[in-house]
Amino acid sequence: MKEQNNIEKNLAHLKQSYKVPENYFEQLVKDSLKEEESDRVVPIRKYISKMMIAASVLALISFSFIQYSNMAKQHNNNSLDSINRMPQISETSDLLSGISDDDITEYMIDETDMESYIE
Amino acid sequence: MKEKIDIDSFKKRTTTQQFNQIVNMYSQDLYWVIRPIVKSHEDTDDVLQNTFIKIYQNLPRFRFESKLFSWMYRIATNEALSYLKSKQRKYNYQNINEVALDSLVSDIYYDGNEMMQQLEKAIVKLPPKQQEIFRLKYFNEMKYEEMSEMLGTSVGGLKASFHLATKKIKTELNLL
Repeated sequence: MKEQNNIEKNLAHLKQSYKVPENYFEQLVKDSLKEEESDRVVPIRKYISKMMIAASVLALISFSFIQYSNMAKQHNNNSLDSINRMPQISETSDLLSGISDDDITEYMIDETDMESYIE
Repeated sequence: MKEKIDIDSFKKRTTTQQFNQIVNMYSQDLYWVIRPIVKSHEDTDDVLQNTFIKIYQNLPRFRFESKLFSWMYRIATNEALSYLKSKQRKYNYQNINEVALDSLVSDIYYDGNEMMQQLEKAIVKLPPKQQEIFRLKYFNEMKYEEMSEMLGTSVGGLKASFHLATKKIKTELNLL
């Protein structure tokens, strides 16, 4: 019975041999409150970062569009330039300028010759 | 253990507010649920953090069908045992009791004498249910009636278990 009591006495002192760092529990509570504060900050941070992503995407789209329209404009100008560089033909008669009627008849086949070909 | 918070007002709060209230009210009780299982303070701190994370994650799903502390007690016990099991696998220990006793010896926040260390060795050899009764009685300073409500065992059954456990410890100490 005495030994039984002795064991019980030792068991009662069991917890006392386990030490806990000073202010451990106070710090634990403080840390959990800090978490709450960070929880409030997180949605704002998330909102800001979402806004930044949206702005970046928008800027990228605008930049691409401007680049594309500049390229299209450049291409268009180049095409016009090449067209402008081509020789301008105002009338068909220009092609015939410098050729006299005599020159033309010279190349014409005589009617009598034609008959000989038919025969 | 009696609930330290008013459940009705607790239900009306947000999860974060509920969680802060739990940390404020129950951190010491949960610490003394975990410490006798894992033994060292550093390990207890790790397990307590994991326990609070689990509590925070599952709090919105808690339906108050059981007592709040009973629910948290189960989470803390399971977390402590899982922690020991993972450490046992990691460092190739034979069983989780060896893990706990080893970390106790190297713990700077433990100053038990030779007799206390022998007592610890004898306690970890008890069957899990008897160990649980020991822990609740000596570390959480719980009454048999409170234990009975939490564990679903009769007061008579708990007293008998405790008596049997002290007998086993006495035999073990004589063998040591």
